[in-house]
Amino acid sequence: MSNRFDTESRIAVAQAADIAREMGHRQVGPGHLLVGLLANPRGAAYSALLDHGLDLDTTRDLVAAHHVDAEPGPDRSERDRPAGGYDEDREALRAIGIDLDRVREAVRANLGADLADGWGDRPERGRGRRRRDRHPGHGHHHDHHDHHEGRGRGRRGPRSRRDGLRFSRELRAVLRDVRRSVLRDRLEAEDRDDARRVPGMTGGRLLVALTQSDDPAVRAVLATADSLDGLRAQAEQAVGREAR
Amino acid sequence: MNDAAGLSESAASHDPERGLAAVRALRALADRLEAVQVHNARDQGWSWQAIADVLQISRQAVHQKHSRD
Repeated sequence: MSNRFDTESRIAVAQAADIAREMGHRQVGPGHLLVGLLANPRGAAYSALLDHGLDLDTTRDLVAAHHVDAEPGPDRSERDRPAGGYDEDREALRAIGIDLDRVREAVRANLGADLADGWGDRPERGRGRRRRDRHPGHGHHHDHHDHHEGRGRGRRGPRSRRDGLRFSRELRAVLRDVRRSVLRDRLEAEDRDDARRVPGMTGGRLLVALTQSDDPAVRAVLATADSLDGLRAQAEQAVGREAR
Repeated sequence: MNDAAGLSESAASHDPERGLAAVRALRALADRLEAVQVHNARDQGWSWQAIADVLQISRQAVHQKHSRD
């Protein structure tokens, strides 16, 4: 079987589903998988990610902020609320004893920057707000509700499709990439007559595929890595070790 | 500066409209000041790690928020 999961990848996929559920997302994306890999300190992917400056908490926040379920949720319009304007905020600050114009003047004089530029543009826009309500299933009464929380323990392989969670298109593309790389390595190995040594679905392979994903949440996380090339190289080395 | 009575009246206002507006405005001010000060620190040769230490957030978080400024 070319797509057999090793322990690390099995844990990562199961974690990814749990994380997506916790975040109130209805789709498991590559970003959740990345968090899943980072949540397992015994994994090869974990050390590679840590070595390149990623940490679990920040990555989790970035994924929460950047993951978008493919089907628009009912509360999507929440994101489109208007940003607070400068004048309005100046009045609100005046009411609590802060003279925004004076602060602005001081910043201009000392630092040469205008506080009013980009006022109200939050860099991590949507963070916290974009999260859906924390009760998955709420408002989706057509979903299957006959699942039992806590079941699935001891099941072989990753949990899937229970309680309406689905793998996103991007995540399926990542898993397809991994299967393709396994097949390619197997074909090459067959020529050398050592196909049994080719690893299947492993943490290292998942990480290599993730570094090539176009998923916005993954891109946002990897943009904070010290060196994307370095990370990919280390993931590839991990795949090499998994072969032994 | 306003008198203390005016200050508490608004920041601790029972009227959510005023109380929340104060919170929103403080957040916007903090965001802009952070951007300006991080930029200033980078100009003075501070590392992302040094900035992160003072802000008490992770290096990755600082980098993610401000590396494009």
